[in-house]
Amino acid sequence: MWNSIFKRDLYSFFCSNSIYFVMIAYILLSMIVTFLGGLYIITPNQNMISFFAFQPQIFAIIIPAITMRSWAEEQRSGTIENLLTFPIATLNMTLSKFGAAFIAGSLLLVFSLPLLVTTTIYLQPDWGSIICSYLGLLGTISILTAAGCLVSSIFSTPAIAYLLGFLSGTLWINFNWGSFFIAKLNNAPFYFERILNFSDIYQIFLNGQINISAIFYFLSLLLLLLFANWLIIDYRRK
Amino acid sequence: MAQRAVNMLEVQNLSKKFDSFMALDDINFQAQKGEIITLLGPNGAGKSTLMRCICGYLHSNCGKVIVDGDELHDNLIPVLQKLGYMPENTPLYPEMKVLEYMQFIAGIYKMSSSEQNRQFEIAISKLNLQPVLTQKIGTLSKGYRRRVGIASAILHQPQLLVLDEPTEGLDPNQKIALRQFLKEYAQNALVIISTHLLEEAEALATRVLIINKGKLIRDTTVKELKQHAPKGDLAQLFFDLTNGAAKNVE
Repeated sequence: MWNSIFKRDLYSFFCSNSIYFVMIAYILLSMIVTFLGGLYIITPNQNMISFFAFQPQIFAIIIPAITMRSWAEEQRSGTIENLLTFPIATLNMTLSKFGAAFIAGSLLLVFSLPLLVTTTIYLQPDWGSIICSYLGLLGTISILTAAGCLVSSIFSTPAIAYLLGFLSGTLWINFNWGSFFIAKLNNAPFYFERILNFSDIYQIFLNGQINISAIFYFLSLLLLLLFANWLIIDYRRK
Repeated sequence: MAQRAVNMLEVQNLSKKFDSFMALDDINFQAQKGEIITLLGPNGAGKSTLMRCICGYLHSNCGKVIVDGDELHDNLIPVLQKLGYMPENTPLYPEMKVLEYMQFIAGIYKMSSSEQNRQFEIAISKLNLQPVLTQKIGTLSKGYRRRVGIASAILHQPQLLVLDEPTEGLDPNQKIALRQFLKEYAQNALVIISTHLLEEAEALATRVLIINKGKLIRDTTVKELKQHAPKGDLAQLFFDLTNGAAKNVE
């Protein structure tokens, strides 16, 4: 099931020193935001809200550091010439690179386990909310990863891929897309406000709910980004 | 009725333009298994571009590449299965160890473990990679990097082997060993190499394609070239051909 490109990319993430900087940056940012920004000690935290509230913003900084090398490094070093002359379908390559970056990014959530254990011991955890929040966060990581891979496939400089990955992720998470489209489009339905804003969708998960529109939001965005990534690589091949 | 043998490679009216620069201009040739074709030409003649078009990395503006009867871009994946390619400068993953890289390549071609072991043994012994198997590619010398690149290109025993300047950076002993290996390999495959070194063509090629400014200006053999060379001086002939003085040597 796991093909060679997936395994190689995952291996290269964990072989490079940069993964340790990424881990340290994630742990530090998460601690600062959870304890100083989210006031974990004094806020009721049965659902770990102090931790989950600002995780998307942290991952918008962290994920591009993982995805920036996916395609850009292959282009910069010339290994793209080997890669594109391997007998592997473009879709397979696109999904393998996305999959490896997604797993590497998602594994960072392992560092939230001490907080989860603390919450379990000292508070009465709201497992429904916590599980839903983790799922919402995984959806967020998947979109940021797909966006990062897409940007990385366009530019051959990893630093530019990081910068644009960070900017696009931050814009997606923090911008009020619903209001923007309502203001721009005549007769835009009122529910645009709720179905296009990332913060509204993420809030559904933080509330311990999962609904069809939230799943559809993440899935459609993910498929769109992966399709664009596939299109760019396939265009280079054909 | 006797069936006509399918050419291993057919290049038909191949042209490639980069903006207004004509990198390849109406290239035509066919080749069979058992041949070692040397693409000879000065720097910037279009050798690497032609190789990239043959391997499907670059898409030509017009013309066709047909490998073993299959048009390249219509049957990309099956054609690439039959093809082994080492690009110029041998781009490899520096963080991987040589053996890991070979395992990665074996995985790409979905080789069974017994096939993998057999091919590893051949590649390692023929290219003398044993001393560096556990070394990271980033720490290898240029010569060893070349050999790892060639080993990965031949691992799945392709019927069409395309190597861009394979002897660049090798010492004389390594060059001789590699030439011997390629001659053996070409008994059951078509081998195409590019070089700007006449000695390389002389030592290896069964056929020489001279390319200059994107055009195929000679499709010949070393023997024929020598016959046309003034006082047998191939370097002088090459100079005349690639500097537009071809008619002087006709």
